[in-house]
Amino acid sequence: MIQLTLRDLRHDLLTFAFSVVGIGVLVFAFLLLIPLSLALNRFGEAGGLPQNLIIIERDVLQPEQSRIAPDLAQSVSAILGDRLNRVDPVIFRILRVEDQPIQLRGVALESWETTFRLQLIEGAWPSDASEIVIGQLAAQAGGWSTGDDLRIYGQDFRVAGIADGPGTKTQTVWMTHAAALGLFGPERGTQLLVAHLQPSADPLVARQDLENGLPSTDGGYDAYFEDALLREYGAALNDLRILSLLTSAIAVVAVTLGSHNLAWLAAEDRKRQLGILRAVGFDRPAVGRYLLFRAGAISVASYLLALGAAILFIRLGIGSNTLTIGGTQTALSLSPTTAVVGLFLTCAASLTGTWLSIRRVLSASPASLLGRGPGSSFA
Amino acid sequence: MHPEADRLDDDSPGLPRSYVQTHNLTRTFRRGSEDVHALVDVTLVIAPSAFAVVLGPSGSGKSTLLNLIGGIDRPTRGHVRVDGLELDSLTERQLDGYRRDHVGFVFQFNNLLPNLSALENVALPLVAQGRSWAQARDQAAVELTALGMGDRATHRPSELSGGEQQRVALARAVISRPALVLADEPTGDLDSASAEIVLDLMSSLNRDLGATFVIATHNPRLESRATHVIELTNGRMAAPALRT
Repeated sequence: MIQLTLRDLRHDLLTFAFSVVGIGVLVFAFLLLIPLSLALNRFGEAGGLPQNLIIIERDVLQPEQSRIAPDLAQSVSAILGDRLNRVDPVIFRILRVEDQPIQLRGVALESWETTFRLQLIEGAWPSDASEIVIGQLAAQAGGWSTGDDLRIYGQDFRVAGIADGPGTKTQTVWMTHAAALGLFGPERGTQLLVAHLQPSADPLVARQDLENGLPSTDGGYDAYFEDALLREYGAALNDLRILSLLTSAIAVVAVTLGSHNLAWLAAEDRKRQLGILRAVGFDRPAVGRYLLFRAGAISVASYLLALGAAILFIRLGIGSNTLTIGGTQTALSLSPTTAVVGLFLTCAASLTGTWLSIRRVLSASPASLLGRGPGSSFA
Repeated sequence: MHPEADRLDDDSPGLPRSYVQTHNLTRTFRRGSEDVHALVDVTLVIAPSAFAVVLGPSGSGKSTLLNLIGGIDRPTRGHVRVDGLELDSLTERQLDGYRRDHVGFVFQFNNLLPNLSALENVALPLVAQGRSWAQARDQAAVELTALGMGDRATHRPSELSGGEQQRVALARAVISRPALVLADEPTGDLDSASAEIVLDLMSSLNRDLGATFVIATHNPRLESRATHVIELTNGRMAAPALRT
């Protein structure tokens, strides 16, 4: 029956092509939505530094909306005592620099290599308040390099160097705390405190002590491990992730229904042909195999078309396989597992839809398929 | 043909040996709330290698009779026996096998699969029997050549005339050398010249292959070629005629 199916498809190329494109569009949507869900999931899993605790205003979703009381750093020092290496106030902003979404961090220069473990890739650390260091992802996205001038918030800064740090997934610009304070003014103050613990300190106990001991004025503060903050930040995208997964599931159901309709149309269109096949000696299983092979060929062709389109779209349409959310980059990639699952689901959905639609045709007598006799049911 | 035959167990002494035998064969269809009696109590015998013609106007039950003899439909009541097989007691799978191994069909129109070439259409019954496409195509080429269609083998049905299509259908019906060939209005859509060619071919195949032909037609001119004539009116048999 495979040869019969192939001959049938070859002689009916236009219908075959429309069927492939019709199913392929749905598979394409599925192949994009699943990586999007996974990317959103990964967004909240940025690697952090276990010895860094971030203190942020309670219940604030965007770090840049947080405001830290001026004397909070002293409270943190008092609570943690000799377990604390140092505590740094951080000025945090998400803004657009030359059309690129950028996370700007203003932190004391002496913490960059210790607390934040930044490593210079090229250039030098800033020598004065007019110089900045940019992260590797920002350099890639903006096409910037050492020596370039960037206009940030109406003021020009020179790129002194390019740096990278562990777990960095953001397009970041680093400047000294003093430079950031000068740039944005004192009104919105500091957004975060980063407490860098001694290696011997127990981060969990330190965090508990901070939560119990920090003043509860102005709504209070939360202390997070760095990765936990990112996770919480990523949780804001949870609805989008769920929606994406739901839409993926709908795409699979749509493939089933689409295949059902295509197979139903094919079977209805070929009723007489199926009757002839039965009359010349092909039994029901053979005719069923013919229709299922046909659906299988359409679904595999649809899948290959959609896979190729999805890979092209991710590589060319989105570029560099990255998805930038609020200045944070996350990988959008079509993994082999997703591709295999996609193939399985496409074939399963297609064959299920086909099977549901052809049962009636297969149970019909050859005479009724041939449209013979004045009625269609036995008296 | 002996309408008085009242049982199917054995051929009665003195009667011609039967190949097709029916007893009180009845087929009723339901159309809405109404019963339509397409065939009523048809009892007949057709001898081996006969060239039987079923005559009657449209709606007289000719096609229904062929459907039941060919095993593509089941009777509401009564019995059909072909070559010793009681069709009404066969399972669906056995009926599939019966059609595959014993029967060749020629229909009035749209006989062929449009997406296959003439050669591939003719090869189908052999493929259904489990032969490879290559073997089946080789045999189909021989068959088409024998029926004067060798040069049209690669053409698709839409590229063939009505008469050519029926010759291809005839080649397909006989390629597996069935003992029974059923043709339902095989010349109904043909001009008289093409009809003559098809009928001549059927007569010669009947002689050469020894197969039993049962042909439903509303064309009384076919009567002159028949060894058996069965007349149906409103699903019932008229007076029988036997020319042996």
